Amino acid sequence: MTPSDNTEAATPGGVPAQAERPRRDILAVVVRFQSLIGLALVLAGGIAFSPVRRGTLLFLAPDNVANIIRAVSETGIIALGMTFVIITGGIDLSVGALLGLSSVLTATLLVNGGWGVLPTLAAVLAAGTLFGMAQGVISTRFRLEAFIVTLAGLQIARGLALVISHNQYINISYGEGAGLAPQAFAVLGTRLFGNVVPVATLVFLALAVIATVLLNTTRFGRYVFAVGGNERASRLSGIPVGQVRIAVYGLTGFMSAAAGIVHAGQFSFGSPNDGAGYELTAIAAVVIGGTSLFGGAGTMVGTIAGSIMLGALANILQLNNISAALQLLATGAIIVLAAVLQAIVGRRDGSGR
Amino acid sequence: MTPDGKDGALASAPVLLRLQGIEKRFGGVHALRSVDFDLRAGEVHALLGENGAGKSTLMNVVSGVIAPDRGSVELDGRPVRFASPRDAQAAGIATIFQELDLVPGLDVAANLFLGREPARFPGLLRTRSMARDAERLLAEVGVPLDVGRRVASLGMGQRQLLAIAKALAHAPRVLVMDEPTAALSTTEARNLFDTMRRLCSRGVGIIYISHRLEEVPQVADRVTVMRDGRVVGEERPDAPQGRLVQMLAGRPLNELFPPRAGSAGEELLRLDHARYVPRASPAGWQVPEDVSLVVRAGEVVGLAGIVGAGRTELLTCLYGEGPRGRWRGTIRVQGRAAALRGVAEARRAGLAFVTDDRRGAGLMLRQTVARNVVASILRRLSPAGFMSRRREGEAVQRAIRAFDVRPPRGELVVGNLSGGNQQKVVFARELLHEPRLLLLDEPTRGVDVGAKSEIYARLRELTARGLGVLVASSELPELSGLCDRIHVLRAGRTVAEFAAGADEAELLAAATGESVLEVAR
Amino acid sequence: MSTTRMLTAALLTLPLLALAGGAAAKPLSKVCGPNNKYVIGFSQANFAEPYRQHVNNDLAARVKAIPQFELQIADAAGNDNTQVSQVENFMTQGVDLLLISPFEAAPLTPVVTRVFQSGVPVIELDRRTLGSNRTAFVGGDNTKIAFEAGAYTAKILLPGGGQVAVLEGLPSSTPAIERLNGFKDGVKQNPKIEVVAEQAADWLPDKGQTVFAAMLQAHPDIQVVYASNDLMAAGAYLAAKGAGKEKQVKIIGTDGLPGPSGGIASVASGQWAATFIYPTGAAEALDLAKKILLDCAEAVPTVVTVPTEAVTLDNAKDLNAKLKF
Repeated sequence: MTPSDNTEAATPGGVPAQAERPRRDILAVVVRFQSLIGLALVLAGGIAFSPVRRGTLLFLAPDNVANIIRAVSETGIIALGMTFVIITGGIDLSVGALLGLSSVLTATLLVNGGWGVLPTLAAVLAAGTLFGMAQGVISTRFRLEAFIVTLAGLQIARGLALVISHNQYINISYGEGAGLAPQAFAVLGTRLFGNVVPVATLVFLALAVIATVLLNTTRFGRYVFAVGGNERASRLSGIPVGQVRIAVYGLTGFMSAAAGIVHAGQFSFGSPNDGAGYELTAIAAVVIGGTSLFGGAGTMVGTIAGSIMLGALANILQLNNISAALQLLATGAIIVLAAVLQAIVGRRDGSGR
Repeated sequence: MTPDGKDGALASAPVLLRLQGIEKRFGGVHALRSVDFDLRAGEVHALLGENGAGKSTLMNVVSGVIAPDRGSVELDGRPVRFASPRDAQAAGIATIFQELDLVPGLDVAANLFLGREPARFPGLLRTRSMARDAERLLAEVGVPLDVGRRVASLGMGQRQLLAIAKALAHAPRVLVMDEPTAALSTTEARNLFDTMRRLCSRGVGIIYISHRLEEVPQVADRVTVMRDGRVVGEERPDAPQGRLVQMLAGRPLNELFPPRAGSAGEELLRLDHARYVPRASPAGWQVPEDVSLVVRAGEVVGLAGIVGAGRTELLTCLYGEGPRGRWRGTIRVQGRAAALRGVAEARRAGLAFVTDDRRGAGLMLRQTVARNVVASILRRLSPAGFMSRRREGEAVQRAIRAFDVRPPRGELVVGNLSGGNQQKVVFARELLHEPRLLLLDEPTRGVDVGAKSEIYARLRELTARGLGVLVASSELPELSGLCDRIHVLRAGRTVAEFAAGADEAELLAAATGESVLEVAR
Repeated sequence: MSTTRMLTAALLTLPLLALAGGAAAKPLSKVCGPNNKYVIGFSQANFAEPYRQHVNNDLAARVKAIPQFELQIADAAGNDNTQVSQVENFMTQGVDLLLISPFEAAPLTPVVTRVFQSGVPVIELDRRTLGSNRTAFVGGDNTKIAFEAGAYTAKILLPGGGQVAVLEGLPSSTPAIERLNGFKDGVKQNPKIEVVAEQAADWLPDKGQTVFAAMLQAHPDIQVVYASNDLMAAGAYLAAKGAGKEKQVKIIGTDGLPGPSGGIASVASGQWAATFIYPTGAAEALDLAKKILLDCAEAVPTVVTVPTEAVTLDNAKDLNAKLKF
């Protein structure tokens, strides 16, 4: 068979030739694991430039590592959900506001509602999931851009949070009796294993494992990749595209609610304004992790590494007392680099975008 | 046109453009092998070739899109070397590509002057003089268009004419047209041919690229046929079609198609005055209005019709993928009444669909062969919701072997495969689902001859095992050679039925609603 | 800052000594003495607010006079999580004293508690965390500052009475509530004064302008507007000017920031009647730090309230010159 059809023979970029394969594969591997490589580089930099005190590298001290992961746990949890949405080619801007709403809801139910810990967790997670699914339903049913629907969702979530909280933040105090939350909830703000590892960190890592399994080994994960790879092809293959879309927004809603609970637990506090801008941090982590904003490609491991990398970068800069401005510049540069690498590989694959 | 009367005059007309010994390689693909080609003033020189034969590559050399590895290009006897399409344009070579470079949201005048808008300080458009110049230009080309109309509101034929007018604004000597009639109705095509003739009479030379044999005698003065990157010969436009086909395919037409199966089995699909009633009909959509046909196990049934006759729409609606709405009339699948209200239902009923838009709608181009192939049977491969790697691997290997996807490696990215192999991946995916009735829309578009004949052979194997196939195609020889029966669609209605080996002229006549004689003319 | 102010500060100080039984004999900091070098970590709630920028500048300028101290300032950018993380990083770095203006109280309480219980002295500046796990708090008294602004209105600006309007800060924030109530208590000293309008403008200048323009429409005879910060006062001035009433309306700001675009300059130029300084507490905080680290103090006052100062046309020019860094 002639190894080419018309279109490909005519455009040098779309050459199907086997000759170039090895080079492309190396680059593709770099992109696939770009955030792990980036994380390794940041960690190496962290070790090289770490301040030393009493003979130990501060950067690698167990409590510092735990701190790094704690600092990114909320945005990291959100990024886990965001990865699913972005692989389907969508976007969810409501996550940060939903975190605020969930933290307020958690605090209100525990403090003012007198609810137990488990009913509260169930209610908040269910509310977040439903909120996300509602966005998915609206976007699918009326064929609206997810950008618009979730932008509206952002406003609505913030508005609801302000209504529920009466425009005030709600402190969570623990104890028995009216106006006090059950002591069990305080565990989210504590540290385990010799008072070193924050529970928030553990929650993030546990959800990360679940999300990885969900994306990589289940039918649902495949549906997500298929819908993002080509929606029409998926539909023609009998994949319930609408349901998949609704489910991924439900998933970001769930993750945002989980992050909101962690927020309320870590800080004993529910604030309607918290989580502002988290959607952008989460998207940055996902993109740095090698997930394509055009959908159809991405890894959960990449997202996790991307999140931790951002945290490690902030940490090493601060340990060396370098200004926050430089941190923003570095983050911006890394995002651009990640996007450029993806674009190069995308073009080489000859599939256009 | 009277070729005889013009022959003498044309043969003595000066050569405008001469290509000699053109070579081009893309990686391992030898796209052009020592190609010679020339064009005289005032002639239409048709360039025929299957997809992948190299004709588009050759035209990209002419229009400066790519540079040849070896060989010379002469314009008016002087050697030229184009670094960019802009260079070629400046030298008097205008190209109208398949994807028209028009902006749908702007009006006709604005499109004509796109990128060279007459403006005065500080950037204000001279709209009035633009409109005046646009009218003059359109009149010259003989294209009666309202310059204030938005291009989005024009039909494909009018857009094609507008694209020509736009190309002519540069007063070219050579006009290259790549498959200009691909999306045109018969009347629109005739309009286009009239305009082309008018241009020739003013000394413009036209290179006309097509794979539609039937158009050649209507428009061309000379025909050059390419295959596998080589020129295989030059012919007069009135050469017998069989001869041209043999040159194109590299073998006699009848060898391209496998022998038909013997007998047909049970009825898989029956439509009796079926029509589709959408809640709202999308613009440019020909809804199935009144369709009656039968597909039996072991049969390949063809759907013929001109562009816009509703072939794709019929298949899409049968597969439950049409706009919101419902079928009326009788539909029976495997003897049972079926509503076919969604993809899920259609698939349960045993239908599978291979779309004509392979790159746009058929494949996840950036994902691997394996991921694409199993997309239709994910449910079966994940009993408890978790993917079974073992079953998946087996399914992928089975599919790759059954359809001979090359190279046979599931981990390759589909976007990197050739068109033919991409199409095989689509087939493999649909067949893994084990359907009874396969709906095919232009199954060989953009596929080279070798892959075509493989696909035909594979289809016959499938029907021999009891599958039924309903195939829509705009290539009449394909329908005529492949199918057991052919239904002709016109404006969403089945208007005629032909037996195997139907005469192409008769098919065309039924499709356009004109008499056979008229079409032959 | 002047010695008189230091004295006033000392007088106002609540003389609560950290009495912990026999532990009173132990220095507050594990490491102390006049000859060591010390790193002080300052976690600032949000650099983007002009007042907080002013605090940073004040601290940075004053710490230069103490050769044993090195000051590291981190910007929490108005985010609790970032601020917690910064405090954790200060701990990792092993700072000798934590200075912090928490963005919000509850979220920062656990981490500040951890720092304090690990033996590092903690001085909270301007805003407090919950509970008492800190070495000391240094800050102004919002209620008192606003009360003085109210009293100034009652006695000096409108002795004969008249209509007064109030621009409130972000409604959910403690300073907004304290400043509103303090001012209203202050003007009560003159029964002929009527507060005809009070609305939130969320600390923002543009919102201050919009809100005050509407107030002037509804109440054309407003003679004094009290803005709970300088930014809203600047907005109020633009609104008054827009209505052609910049002579009729006397404006009072709060914070009294120095510099060409600060409130003090606006008073000096005659645009505003007055502004009431919300003190940075920088001098007082560093003074405490010196006692803890250099003098090995065994006890310091746990609350230091820094008094305000009224800025009027009389002293504005002098103050602005003095506060230049």
